[in-house]
Amino acid sequence: MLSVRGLQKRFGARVAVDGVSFAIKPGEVYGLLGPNGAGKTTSISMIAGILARDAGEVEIDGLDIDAGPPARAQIGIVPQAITLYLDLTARENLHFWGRMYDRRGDGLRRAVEEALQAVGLTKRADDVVSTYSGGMQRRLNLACGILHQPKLLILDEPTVGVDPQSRSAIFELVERLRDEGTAILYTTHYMEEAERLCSRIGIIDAGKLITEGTRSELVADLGRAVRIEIGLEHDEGLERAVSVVTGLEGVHSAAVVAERLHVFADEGAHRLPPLLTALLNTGLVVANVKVVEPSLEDVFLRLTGRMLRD
Amino acid sequence: MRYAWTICLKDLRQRLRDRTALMLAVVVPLVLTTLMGLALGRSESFRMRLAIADLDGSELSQAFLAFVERPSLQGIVYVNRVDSLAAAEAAVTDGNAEGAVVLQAGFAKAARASRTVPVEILAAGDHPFSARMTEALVRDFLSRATATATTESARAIPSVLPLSPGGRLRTVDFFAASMAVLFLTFTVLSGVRALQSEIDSGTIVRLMATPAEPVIILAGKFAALVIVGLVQMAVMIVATSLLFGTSWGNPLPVVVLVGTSVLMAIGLTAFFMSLAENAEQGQGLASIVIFLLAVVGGQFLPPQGLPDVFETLNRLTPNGQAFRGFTDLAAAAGTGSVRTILEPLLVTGGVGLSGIAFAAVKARKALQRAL
Ligand SMILES: Nc1ncnc2c1ncn2[C@@H]1O[C@H](COP(=O)(O)OP(=O)(O)O)[C@@H](O)[C@H]1O
Ligand SMILES: [Mg+2]
Repeated sequence: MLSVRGLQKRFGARVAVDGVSFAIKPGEVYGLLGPNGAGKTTSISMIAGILARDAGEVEIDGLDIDAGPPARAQIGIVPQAITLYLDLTARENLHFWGRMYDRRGDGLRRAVEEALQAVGLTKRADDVVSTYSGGMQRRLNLACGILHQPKLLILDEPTVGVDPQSRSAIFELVERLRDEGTAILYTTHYMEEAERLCSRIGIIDAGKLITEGTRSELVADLGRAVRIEIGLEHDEGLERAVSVVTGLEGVHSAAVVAERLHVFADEGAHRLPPLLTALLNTGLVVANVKVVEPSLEDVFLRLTGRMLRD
Repeated sequence: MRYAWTICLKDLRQRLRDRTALMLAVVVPLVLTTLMGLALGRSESFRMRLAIADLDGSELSQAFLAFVERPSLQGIVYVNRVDSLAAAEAAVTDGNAEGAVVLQAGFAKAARASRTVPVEILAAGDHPFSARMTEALVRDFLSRATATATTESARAIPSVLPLSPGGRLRTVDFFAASMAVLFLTFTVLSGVRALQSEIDSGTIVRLMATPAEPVIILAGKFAALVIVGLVQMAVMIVATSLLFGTSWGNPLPVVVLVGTSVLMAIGLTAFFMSLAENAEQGQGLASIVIFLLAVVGGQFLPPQGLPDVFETLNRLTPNGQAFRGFTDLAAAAGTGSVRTILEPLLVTGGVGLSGIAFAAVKARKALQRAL
């Protein structure tokens, strides 16, 4: 449904997106996972045809995005920010976007009602949007992008700042649309969301797609490794601790994340004592230790030396 | 095109939803017009004493006298005949007349030959409005007289001069025009602000993702602004006509001037909006500037007795030009034409188009940043 090849964009000297390629099939949720500033929104803007690309190709349902209106008509986009007319009602907002995608008359009315129902806003449909809670606005933001039943739905961090109830409503809707055959591009910097929703995940950092695959493929790539989190008695020793453990046998990488030492090492209980001894020998006092099962978070840490949620 | 219409309707709906803006557009200017008219005008009509020296003594010069003394101008223009340039000057300097017209010998001949006619117009320095009125009278007369003179040579000219109704400009009418122009700018400003907030809030991103091309989106937004401006002016014109009996002059030139004034309002407000960081700031900046321009242009003071400098400032401000055009048309009554307001038309239209062009270029850049 969507095929992206060699997408590139620079802003002045900064390369925001650097050779991103991937494809999404109908009925598939593709997660673009990466920290803030990784280039997710920039990629999406180019895919949706609202930002000029420096290089690369975007094809939607066999149509080049440069074909303009017919290609754009296949896309539904839900921007990262709340992009609603706050002085209009939910129904008026939906009605407007429906018309902008050539829906008319009875078909439009039905689509509006369905979209309202899908995000649970039927009761408040005739209230002005500025009176809505943040979560309700998020849900309407989503509804405005799905009303015209796009073949490709692009969601840019749709759950940022959302209450748990709205969040699960959004998840359910995404799953339903997926089951109905919509191709979905879902960006997020929350690992749990990517794990729960996405059939395939691309990890993006500093404009580059650094790896791609299903969740289990990505985690399997880590081999039989674990993450060991160590808290020190005194935080000022953390940087020194990194250099102490880096050379040790079986240690892949080490980094300071959120005032804790994160060590990436081969699996096995025998890895722990030498690690702690090395720290003790240099006068660093260990306060606590945690061994964590590998997750997407660790895939990211392993590939970039940083945590996703920084 | 359907997309443009959809966008235009959506924008109009948003404008209608803003109660404060509606109040500001319709109720406030009417209330202000009434108050200012009452407070400053003592509801009296504009009056002017005009000294005329006919040194030509031709049929045409007598026709001018008849033109100025016609029934519709009675009670407004008081004609006082004098017999020399010196006497005319004396009448003005001694304060016996606000204006004087001296038709020199050779007036008729020059008019028939379509050459520059020897006419002296004198006016008291502290009555710019009377000066304009005098000039308008002479200009009107000549434009009709020469038109007929060249085609029909020496036929009886007075008979072909139609008598125009009205032609009065009272204080309340002055403020009707003044407030109409001022609030036109404010109303359009709130529309331009909405355009800016479309960029600020990111809805423009959604718009650009739709199948509609950018030009069409712009066209829809522009159409909404024009409609809002036209409706605002129409409401003011109709309401002041009904409430105060204001006569705005010949419909055709009034409509043309309304058009260029709306352009001016869009260009002016878009210009200031585009200088600001966001909609909020832009609206503040533009409001202050519009208000200052109106004050400087003399739009808040009654016309009689304004110092000359206001006349000049008036011509230097775009909103002042629009306002001046409307008062000229009202003063010219049935004789007003597009030529009467050539300068206001050119200035308002020019300012409008340049402001819009400038803002469009800036908006393109802002859009790049918004994405
Ligand atoms: N319009 C722009 N001008 C300059 N730099 C930009 C612009 N948009 C994004 N960037 C930069 O490009 C990088 C990627 O941004 P973005 O795509 O918004 O990241 P994400 O959506 O993953 O958080 C960032 O470093 C950001 O500062
Ligand atoms: Mg983003």
